[in-house]
Amino acid sequence: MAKDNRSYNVFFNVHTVSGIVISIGLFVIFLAGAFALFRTEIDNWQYNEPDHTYRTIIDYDRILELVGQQGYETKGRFFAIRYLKKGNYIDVFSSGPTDKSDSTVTADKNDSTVTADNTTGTGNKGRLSMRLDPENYTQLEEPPAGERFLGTYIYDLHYFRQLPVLGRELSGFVALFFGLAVISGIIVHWKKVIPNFFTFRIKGSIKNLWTDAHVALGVLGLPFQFMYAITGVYLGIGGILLLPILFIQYGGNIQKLQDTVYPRIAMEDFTGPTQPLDSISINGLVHPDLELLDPDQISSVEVDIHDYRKKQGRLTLDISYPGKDQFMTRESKGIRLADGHVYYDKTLDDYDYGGATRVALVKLHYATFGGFFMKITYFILAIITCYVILSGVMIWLVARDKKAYAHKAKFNRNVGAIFIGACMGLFPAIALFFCLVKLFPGSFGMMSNIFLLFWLAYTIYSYFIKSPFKINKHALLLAGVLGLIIPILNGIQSGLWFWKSLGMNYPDSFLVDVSWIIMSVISLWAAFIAKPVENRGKAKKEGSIVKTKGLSGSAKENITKPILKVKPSRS
Amino acid sequence: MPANKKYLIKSGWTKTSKFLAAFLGSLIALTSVVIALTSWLDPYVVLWTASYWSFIVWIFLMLMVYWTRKAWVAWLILLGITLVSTLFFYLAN
Repeated sequence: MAKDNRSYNVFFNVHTVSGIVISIGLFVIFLAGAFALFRTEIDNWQYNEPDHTYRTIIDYDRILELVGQQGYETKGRFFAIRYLKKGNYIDVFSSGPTDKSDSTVTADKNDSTVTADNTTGTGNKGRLSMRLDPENYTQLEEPPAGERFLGTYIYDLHYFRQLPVLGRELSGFVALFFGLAVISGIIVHWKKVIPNFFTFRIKGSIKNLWTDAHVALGVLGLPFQFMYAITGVYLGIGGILLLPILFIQYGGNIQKLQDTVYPRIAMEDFTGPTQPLDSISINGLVHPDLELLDPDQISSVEVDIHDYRKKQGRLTLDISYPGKDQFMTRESKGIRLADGHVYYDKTLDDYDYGGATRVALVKLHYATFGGFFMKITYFILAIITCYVILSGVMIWLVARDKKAYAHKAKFNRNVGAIFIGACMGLFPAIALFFCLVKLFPGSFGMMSNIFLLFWLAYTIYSYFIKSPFKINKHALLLAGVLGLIIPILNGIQSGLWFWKSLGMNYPDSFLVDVSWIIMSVISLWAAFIAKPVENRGKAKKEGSIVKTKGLSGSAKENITKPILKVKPSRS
Repeated sequence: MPANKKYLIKSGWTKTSKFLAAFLGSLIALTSVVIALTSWLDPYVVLWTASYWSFIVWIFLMLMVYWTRKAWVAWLILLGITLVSTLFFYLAN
């Protein structure tokens, strides 16, 4: 068994090291990501938007004209114009001229959830992003959206967009090592998956409690976590393989690679008769299709225009039908601008492989299937994953709390305090952010700085108090209190008290307020019942580790209602 | 409960070598396999399949590197994969 023993220890070490290295980043990804699932709902809550009626048909020519009036060069540009049912706005995004670089590849990968990037400079060929009112086509807020909208800010945070460079790529690599930790974790636990499936020792040592919680929730959440690892890598660093392939297989010809990967936007040589390029009407091309739609069935209409007002110009029209009782709910069409020729046409039941792959990866990641309760399930599973990450850090700490590690005890304690503080501090920081946007509507930049400073301050505070029990308890207390203030501030600021907002057709306002009440009550309850664990079993810790702590209702239930099966310690 | 040190690598050089093999070596081997596949099969299908499949393979290659006893064995396996893929790439072109 020597060989098995070696493999076990090697994989165990891979699991520990990859897990502990990415722990803070991964916790931020999952906690901010859990909130980001409700990004548009939070944006609507922030600006007190009612539930809107959807019209499906908007004036695309007018939007493009507006872009031109703002001093941008429209000719040869790539445009993404998204009109989503959630939120009463049209997002216009452009990364610049289509044939300048690979901008369309990256823009396309981001799918519907792309956030408009910073408008760098005032040059008329630069990036642009606008959010328009579909009623009168006035600009709603100064771009970028990530610096005005709370939901969008949290969504950006979940892939480290606030970092000056390579935030998205960093999140992709975190996802990759998360995948490594998930697979090595299940390998390590493999032999015990069945015998220990119902094991939950809360009477033994604190290390056993953490281990059982980590293992039980890790095994139950495995498919969800593995799915997020893979889709996260795809969305973060999906293009990593394409660069060598571009140079070796396609001789550096980016257009050729793009045409292979995205046939729906493939650039064809077109020599037929064209109408004058300046008189091409996008409305004339897409409105006949849009007029056939029932607005109640549609959740989004997305029009991407490539090489606008050029001979090879083409557009793709994507329509999502969430009401359909199937996973693939998106129709896609490619239309040549010059003559209206439909060169690509995929209906719900006839999807091409690449399009279906992309839609599947994105839908799985953003939970845009299965309706509202799927998002709630995702939220709970994401919080459970946060719990698994945190309990992993706790195991790491507790396992090193013995004589053999005495020479590193101080270092380990400091690392543990900072890691747990940075993780748990994000929760009250987000609650504070929700309070701030209702207290000072309009000064978003300042509020995001307060949010980041609070988070930093909590981490520093954790470093000084050291005890994981206190770090967890105080974070839960703070988040609970701030969370209960959120619906009150919302009620004062907008008059949309949570007991009447639903009746007033403000479902998003209702959802956010009620969710915070539920989360706060659970957090406060967990914080108050938590007791430091006495010195018992093998774990020799001076009563400094929280016994039960709930991040979410379900994580809580899993701990407070265990099936007891006291077994000898595993180590 | 931390992994038993007796079974782990002690040398810093070997550790670095293993990490490089796991991270970069696996990526190079993986990319070469995908390139070989694109030259024999429909690149559209290969590239889209690679958009999820390749990352799973990358993770398993990383585990393979750590599972092998010697770092040079891991490098040899990755080099073998790369060479075979390169051979198939040149056979197709």
